[in-house]
Amino acid sequence: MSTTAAEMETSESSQAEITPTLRVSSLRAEFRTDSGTAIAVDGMSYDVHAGETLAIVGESGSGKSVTSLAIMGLIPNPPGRVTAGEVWFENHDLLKLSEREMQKIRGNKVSMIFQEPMTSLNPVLSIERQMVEGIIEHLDLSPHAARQHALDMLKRVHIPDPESRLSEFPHQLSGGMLQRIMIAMALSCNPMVLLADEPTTALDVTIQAQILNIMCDLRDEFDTAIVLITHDMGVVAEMADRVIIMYAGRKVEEGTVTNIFQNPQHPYTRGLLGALPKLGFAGPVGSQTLNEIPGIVPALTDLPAGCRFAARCSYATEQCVAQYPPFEEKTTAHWAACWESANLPEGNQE
Amino acid sequence: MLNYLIRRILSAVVTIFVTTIAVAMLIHLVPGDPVQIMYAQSQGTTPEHLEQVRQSLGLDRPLVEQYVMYMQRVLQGDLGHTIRGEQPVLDLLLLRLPNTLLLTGTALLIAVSIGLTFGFIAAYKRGSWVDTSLMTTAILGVSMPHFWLGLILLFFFAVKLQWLPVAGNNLENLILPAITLGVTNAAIIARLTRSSMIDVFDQDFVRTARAKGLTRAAVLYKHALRAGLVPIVTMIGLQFTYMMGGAIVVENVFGWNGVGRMAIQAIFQRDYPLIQGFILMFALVVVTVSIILDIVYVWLDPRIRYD
Repeated sequence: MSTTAAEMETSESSQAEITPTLRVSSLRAEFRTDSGTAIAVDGMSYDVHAGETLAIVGESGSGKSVTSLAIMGLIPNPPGRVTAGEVWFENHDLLKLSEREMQKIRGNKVSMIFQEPMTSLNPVLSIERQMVEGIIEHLDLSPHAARQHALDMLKRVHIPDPESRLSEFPHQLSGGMLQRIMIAMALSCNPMVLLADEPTTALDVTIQAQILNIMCDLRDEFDTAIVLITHDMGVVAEMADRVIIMYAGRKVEEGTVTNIFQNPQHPYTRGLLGALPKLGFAGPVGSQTLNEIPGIVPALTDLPAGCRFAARCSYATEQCVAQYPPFEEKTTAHWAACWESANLPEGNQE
Repeated sequence: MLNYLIRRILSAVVTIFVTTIAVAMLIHLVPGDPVQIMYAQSQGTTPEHLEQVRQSLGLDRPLVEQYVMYMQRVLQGDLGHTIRGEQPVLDLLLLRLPNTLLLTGTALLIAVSIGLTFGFIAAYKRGSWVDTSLMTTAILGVSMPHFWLGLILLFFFAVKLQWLPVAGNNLENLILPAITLGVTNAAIIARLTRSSMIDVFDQDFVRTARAKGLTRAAVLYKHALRAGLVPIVTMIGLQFTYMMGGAIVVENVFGWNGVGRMAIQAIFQRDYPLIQGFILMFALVVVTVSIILDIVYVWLDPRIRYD
C-alpha cells in the first residue's frame, strides 16, 4: 500500500502521543439556503481515542449533528456540502474516499445512531431484515449465521425475548426498545467509532439511563470510541471523559469533564451549567428558577466578525465584538475561545 | 382480517346490486326502442308484429317487473339473451373478455413500467433538468385524450410509416392500442411516484439505511421504493379500473375485438340484456380489484391492520 508524505507525517506526529481512532481537522460544512450560504460547521477539529467517550454539546443549530453527518459522508447534497477539512481514520481521509469505499466503512468501522428511534427504522421491513442486511453486507456471513449474530446483539442490549422481536415491525415496539435495536444494529459489526447523535433525547428519563448504561458497557467491552452528541449536561456528566462545547458552528471550549464542570472558561459554558436544575435544592417546590441565556444564536448565513456569543454575553467588551478570540489553552488540557476568560468571576456558572 | 374480508365481500355484493338497479333504470331513460331499431331496415313489418316481438322479450311489462325477472335469472347465472341474434349474453362476454383483459393488462404493464421508472428518476434527480423535462412530458401525457392519441399513433405508425397494421386482432395489433391506453396512465403514475418518492427520500430511515453502509441500489430499492409503494399501488389499482373504461374508446378506435367494442354496439342497438350484462361484469371486475388491493396493502405495509 502506498502512503503519501502527508499521511506519513500525520501518522508519525500522532504516533508520538497515542494515535487517535478518529481525527477531525478544520472541518467546514456549508448549506445553501434561500437567505444565503449558511456555515453550519466552521473549522471543527477533534480527536477521539479507543475506549473514550467524547461529548459534543451545543444547542440546536450549533453544528454538532452536521459534523457527524460529514464524517459519515451523509450530508444531504444539495443543499449541503463539506468545503474544507479532513477526517482521518485508519490512515485515510474519509472525505476523499469514493462512495463505494465509504460504504465499506459506514455501519462497519464507523457507525452512527440517531435521535429519533421511532422514525429511524424502516416501517415496512421487519427488525430481522433491517438488522441482518448490514451484517451480511459487512461481515460476509450466511443468512443463518447473520440471524444468529443479530440475536446475540439483541441479547447484549438486554432485549427480552429477542427471537420474537426479530419477526416484529418497528410500530410494534416502544421507543426505548427501538433505540436499543438501533444500538445493537450500529454495534453489530464491532465498529471502532460510534457516533451517537442525541441517542436519548426522544426517550423518557428512566429509559435514558438504561440506554446510556448499555452504551457504556459495550464501549468498555469492545473498546469503541464514542462521540456523544447531546445538549444535556446531565448526560455529559454521566457518560463523557472529555467535552467539547460548540456554538454557532465553532468549538468554544474543550476539556475534561472535571475541568468543564468545575472551571468553565467560556461564558456560554457557564450559561449552560447555570441552566441545569440542581438536585438537593432545599427550598419549597417551584421556588428555584433556572437561569437562561438571553438572546438567540446568530443566523448562520450572517455571522458576526467577532465572537459569535458576544451579543448574548454579559462580559463582552469592544474587542469581543471586533475580533474572534483564538482557541487557546487556558489551563492544562483545557482550551477555550474567549478574550475575557481570565476576568470571569469565581464559580462555575452565571 | 378474515372478518374484514367477509364484510368487504358483502359490501361488494351490495355495490353490485345497486349498480344493476341504476343501470336498469338508466338504459330505459335513453330514448329509442330496440325492436324498432332492429327492424328499421327490414321491409313489411307491421306494428302488430313489432308488438308481438316486444311481448316475447317482456319489454311491454312495467320496469320494476322487468328488473325483478332479470335479477331472478341473473341469480341463477343466466344473463339472458341478446335482443338481436338471441345469443347468450354470458357466452358473448366471456368470449370477448380475454381480449379486453389482454389489452388493459398490457397497457397496465406499459403504464407501470414507464410511470414507476420516470417518477423514480424524477424524484431522485429532483430539481434538475431531468426532473423538469420528465414532469413536463408527464403533463403532456396526462392531457392527451385516448381517442386523439390513438388516431395520431394510427396515422404515423400504421398509415404513414406502415410499420404496424391499422386494425385486426393479432398480437401485433395489440401494440398501438396498448401504448395508447398505457401512455396517458403512465403519466399519472409517474407524477404520483415522484411525489411519493420525494417524501420517502427525506425520511430518517433512508438515512439510517445509508448509515448502515448498504449499497446505493439497496437503499433505493429495498428501503425507499418499498416504503413508498402503498400510495403508488393504490393509484395503479384505480388506474386499472379507469383503463377498463378507457378500453371501450380505444377498442373502438383500433377495432380491437373486446367487450368494450361490443358494448358500444349494444348501446347503439339498445340491446338491454347485453348492456346490463356488460356493466354487471365491469362492476364485478372493479370490486374484485379493490378487494385484491386491500389484501396487497397488508402485505406491503405491516402497519395496516383491518381488525
